[in-house]
Amino acid sequence: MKVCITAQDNNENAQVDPRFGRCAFFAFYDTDSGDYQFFQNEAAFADGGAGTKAGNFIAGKGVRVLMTGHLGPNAETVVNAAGIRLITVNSGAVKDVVDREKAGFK
Amino acid sequence: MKIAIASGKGGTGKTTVAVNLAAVIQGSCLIDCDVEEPNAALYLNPKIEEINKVELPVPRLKEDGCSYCGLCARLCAFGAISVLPGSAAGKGTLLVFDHLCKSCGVCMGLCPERALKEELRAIGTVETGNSCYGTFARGQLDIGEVAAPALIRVLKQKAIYAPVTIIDAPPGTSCAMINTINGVDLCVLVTEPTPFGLNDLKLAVEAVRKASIPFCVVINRSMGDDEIIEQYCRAEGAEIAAKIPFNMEMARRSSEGGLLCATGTVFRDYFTHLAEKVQKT
Ligand code: SF4
Ligand code: SF4
Repeated sequence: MKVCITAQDNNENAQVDPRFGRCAFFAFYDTDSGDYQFFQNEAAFADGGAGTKAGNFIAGKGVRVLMTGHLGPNAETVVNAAGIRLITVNSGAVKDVVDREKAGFK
Repeated sequence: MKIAIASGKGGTGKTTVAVNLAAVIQGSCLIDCDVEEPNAALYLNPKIEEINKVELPVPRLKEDGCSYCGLCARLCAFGAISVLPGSAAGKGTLLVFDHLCKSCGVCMGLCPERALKEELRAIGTVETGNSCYGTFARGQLDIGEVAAPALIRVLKQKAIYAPVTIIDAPPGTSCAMINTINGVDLCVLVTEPTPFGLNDLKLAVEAVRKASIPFCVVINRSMGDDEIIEQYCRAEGAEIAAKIPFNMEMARRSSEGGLLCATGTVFRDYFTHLAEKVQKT
């Protein structure tokens, strides 16, 4: 299963980015292999619709759990419609928050 | 000629300057482009003769045909569509965020299945009429609506222009303000002699310069010595076209919806002088 964590940089020691639509990177954690993959958020500097674009991106990648700080109303609609479960995290290193919440990824 | 009255923020007396200018210029036209809060009518008491609903086309799914390929969502530059592919069991989902849609038509034009149709969504009204000073037009955006620039473009098309047209611009330097000043001959920037006033004036000057529109400055609630604004204008080579003094009587009149230039008042001169000046520019 794929978990997405919004991150300030493209490695697992990076801090969580509390903004969803305008986060710097998406960290994808694969619960089966334990591997990480990082994607730059193309919508971070979009004029409008950053939240829905980010929602489209993670839904398209088949993410099932999203860990981030704040979702705008449009992004929330997309994430809910895609059936993605939300775990709110505002700070901490990516790998630490993953370790902490691991038990709940099902 | 078209003259826009603008300011970097609300509450500087922009509307006061606009309506009084329109009132001292016989046979003028006033267009109220402050579509989120149009209140020039309170001063000019126009008779509204025509009301037009303004609608924008937004995409909607037809009964069937959509393959949930997601192309429309990827093509929309404004993030206004989300397509969630269906599971094996069920259909997918296509969401349209009307408030983000700029009605560019890309999604409807490029859907390979021709599965999207156009639906009209009301965003506000444009009204035209006459006051005893000349023609009048205003736009009113529906509550909660954000498509001010689109409404302003319709308003500027529907207005009945006069030899001198005064346009009350939305406050700030938003897209709505830029759409308003686009194509005018002169921008009058209204400010106050305070640090906040200066800060917002700088933003407004930057915006009108970017749009290559000539401008002049009006200092409202002048204290006589307005060094803070004057120093800036000298440095920038900006003309100060008028100073309107702070006066309790004026403040009271304005707050009651009265025109400062009403015949017989001592304030009339400020606006007749300003009118002469701006028409010469
Ligand atoms: S509306 Fe057209 S482009 Fe959009 S997902 Fe459906 S088939 Fe694809
Ligand atoms: S009309 Fe343009 S802005 Fe509106 S949803 Fe379609 S592509 Fe996006």
